[in-house]
Amino acid sequence: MLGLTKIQTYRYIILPQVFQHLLPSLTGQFVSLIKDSSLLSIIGIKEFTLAAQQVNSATYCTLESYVPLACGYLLLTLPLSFASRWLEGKMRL
Amino acid sequence: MKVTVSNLDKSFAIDGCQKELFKDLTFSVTFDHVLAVIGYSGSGKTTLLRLLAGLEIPEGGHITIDDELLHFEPTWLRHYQKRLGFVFQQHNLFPHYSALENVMLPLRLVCREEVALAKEKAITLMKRLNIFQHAAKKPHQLSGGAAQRVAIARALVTQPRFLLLDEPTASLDVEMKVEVLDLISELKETQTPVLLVTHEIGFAHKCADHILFFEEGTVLEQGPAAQFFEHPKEERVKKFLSKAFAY
Repeated sequence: MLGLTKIQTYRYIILPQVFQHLLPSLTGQFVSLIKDSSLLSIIGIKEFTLAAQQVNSATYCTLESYVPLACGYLLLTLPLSFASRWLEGKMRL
Repeated sequence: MKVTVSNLDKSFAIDGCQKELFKDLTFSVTFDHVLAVIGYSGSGKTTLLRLLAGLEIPEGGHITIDDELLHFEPTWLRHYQKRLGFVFQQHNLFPHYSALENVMLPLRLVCREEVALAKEKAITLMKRLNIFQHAAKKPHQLSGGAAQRVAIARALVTQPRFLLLDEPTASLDVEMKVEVLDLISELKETQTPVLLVTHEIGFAHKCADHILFFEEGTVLEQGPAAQFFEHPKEERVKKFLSKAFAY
């Protein structure tokens, strides 16, 4: 097909194909990054996981401490997956 | 339609060496509907078509189409290319769009038409070309013949001034070839002039009204199809045709 501008070629032809290949792994990377933030608890930085651990230590209510933690991570990662799907849809005509 | 080429020079760098394909290529051809460009492989047929489409830039010379001189300058070429249709050897459909979206694309992006209108036009054309049953399929789900017919629909949808077809049946099996060739025959009814590079000599004989025979970067012979096939003048052309019709 001829007659497209450079911007149109990138917007409608090249980038959608790049993103189609890139988005799943990129989303996976972001999700991992969020979950890997729990590693900071090892060096004593107070983040989500460390906070849950401290609540658990203080109250011995394991389920009540870790279920909100799981929900919290889910709340952070689910929108990312949805955003990725939305972006794929936006790349269409 | 009239195509005039004068003193055209074009060369390519192959393995570090500059190979001259066209040197002072000059010819003029006038035809009504279908011009078939035939000849041996490597004789410059595809390059000529790409030059006419502004996809290759010549080093010298001029090309005039219907008294309009081609300016090989990006902005001018982009406007010129909006008014022509090009079908490549491989269908070159965009893999991330469905067949319908591929046909809609030029209307949306080049003609800047509304989605609803573009869709309506694309559907009407696809129905006319008998490919609407493939509308929702992605290119990888289409057979070679169907994909090539969708590519022809995409080239036709903007109602171009003329259509350039570069061996549209290359790499297709017999059944698919027939599908595509039938469609090209039907294009005569649309009154859109077609410039066709082909190795389907039988089809050129049946369908084209003018023939251009290329050999080693020069036009060895040209003429109305009936005259060209029945009374070729050049020995090389006679030999070529005898081989082409041998089997």
